[in-house]
Amino acid sequence: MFKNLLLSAATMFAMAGVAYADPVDIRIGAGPSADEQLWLMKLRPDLTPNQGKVYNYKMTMFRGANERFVAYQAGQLDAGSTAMSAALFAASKDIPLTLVAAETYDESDFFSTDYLTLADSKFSKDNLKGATIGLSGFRTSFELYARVAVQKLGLNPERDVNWLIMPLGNIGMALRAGKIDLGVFPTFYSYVENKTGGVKTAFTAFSISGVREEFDVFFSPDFIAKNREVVRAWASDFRNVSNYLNQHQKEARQAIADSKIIEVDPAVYLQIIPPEIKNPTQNGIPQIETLRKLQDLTVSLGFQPKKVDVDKMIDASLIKP
Amino acid sequence: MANQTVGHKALDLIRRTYSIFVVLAAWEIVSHSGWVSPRLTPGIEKIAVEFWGLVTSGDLLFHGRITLQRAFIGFGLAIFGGIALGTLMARIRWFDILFEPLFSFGYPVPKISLYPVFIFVFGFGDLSKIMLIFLECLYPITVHTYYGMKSAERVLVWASRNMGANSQQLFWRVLVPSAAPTIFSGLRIAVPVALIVTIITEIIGESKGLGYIVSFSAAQFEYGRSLAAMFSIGVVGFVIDRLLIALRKHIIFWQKDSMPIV
Repeated sequence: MFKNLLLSAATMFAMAGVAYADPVDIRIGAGPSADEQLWLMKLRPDLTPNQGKVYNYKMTMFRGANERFVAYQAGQLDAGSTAMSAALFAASKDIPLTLVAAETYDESDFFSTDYLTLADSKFSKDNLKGATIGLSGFRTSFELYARVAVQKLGLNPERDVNWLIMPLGNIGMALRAGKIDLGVFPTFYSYVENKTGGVKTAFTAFSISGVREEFDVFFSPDFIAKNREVVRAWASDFRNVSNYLNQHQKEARQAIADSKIIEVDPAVYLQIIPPEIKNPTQNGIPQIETLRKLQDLTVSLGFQPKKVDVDKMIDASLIKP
Repeated sequence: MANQTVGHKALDLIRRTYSIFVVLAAWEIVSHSGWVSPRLTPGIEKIAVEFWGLVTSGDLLFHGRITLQRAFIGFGLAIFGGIALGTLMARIRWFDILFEPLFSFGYPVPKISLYPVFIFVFGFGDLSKIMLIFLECLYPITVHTYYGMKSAERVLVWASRNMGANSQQLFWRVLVPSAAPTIFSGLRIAVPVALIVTIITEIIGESKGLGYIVSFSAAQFEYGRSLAAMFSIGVVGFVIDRLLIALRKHIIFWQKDSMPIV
């Protein structure tokens, strides 16, 4: 009993220390797709009770995961969003990071990655030789699944196809102008192109790999070590925002579209709402088994140079209620 | 005496190149100091190893050839176009009235921002890159040719006319030699522009060329390899510049002893 009292008192003092200290800045990098929770944390601080008290939320948008990692390595970010495959790649290059929360996964109600060609194109998942493939960045999950498709056909990704990097928003135009033969289209962009018509799905990330890609938020291990309770407070707010997103899709998307944080046509963005939302990510907990399966895939393809200890990559304790 | 000459030459070489070693030393200090992530600023020894890797793997030759091909074709077209246009502007008044404002206004505008337009007109392949290189190099060559032609000494023009030179002789024997040093200045300015534009277009969206190596290596967090590719670009640019200087010395032989800085 005395021990319990002591423990409670200690916890209260620790929380008081956290509560009355100046808020700690969390500098976090986000991208133009699959980061609804991160965008909402900026747009709707009323959903994040700890923001402004325990931490200051400083979000910066980046065109791609690669740019986020460059800023992270330069010490300009404490955290960022990433596809698990990109996190594995970074970890294999000895970049220290810890996956703290899961935003969504591919082929969920919230996110999917489609690879589209023109409807009358000769290129498909069974014929990619000589194709020009449009991506938003190298060493991203988008590149990974395109490589899976290419290598499944026995082709050499370095010689038998051409890769072109461009902003996500330009890939549709490039496809219709005939400048590329196959392009990567995350959810919103895929919806727009399919609605416009004249395109067909060659494959999706999940259909070509059989492995579910997860999109997570990582933190610097050093930052976690110095500010564990701050990160826990952030994770608690992240859970709140995820629940809000689940339950109020329309309002959430309206806020995102109105803010112009990403360039989307509100009319289209609001139409993407699925009729029934299932729990997308197991309460925001990064899945170790997904990480293991992804690593097996990325190493087998040569996308990831060496295996890493995936058990050390996830700290699920911070997001658990 | 011979030793003194060798000594002088050695001193001269050190004087001309010591700044490079100062920069390299500063880089090494920063790389090993811990002030910046060593991953982002790898040491010179790591860059050298990566450079050697590029050479022995054949990547440097394969991608370098593609980059140089694009740069030289665009630069070559700009030489012909720029010298012709600059000459016409200097010699024909209505040409001057028509084109001079375009060059004055357009010179500071970064033509690289037109690359998306070039892509949609010429496609993603070599042609859009070559046309952009041509456009960027056209400006300095045209402007230098124009001013070179205009700056021929009047005394020489009058003297040649007094000696009975016709328009053709005046052009080839007086105006062209007068303009040649300035034209070469324009070429020396255009060469690095050609390389820069080639690299930037390859970084933006390409899977071949030295610019692709720079961006792909950076995407793989292999900054040593990326810097090694950048070093290769620098070496190529330096070699081309020295070749231009040698060519200039040969063609403008009367100015051997009074080489301008540019």
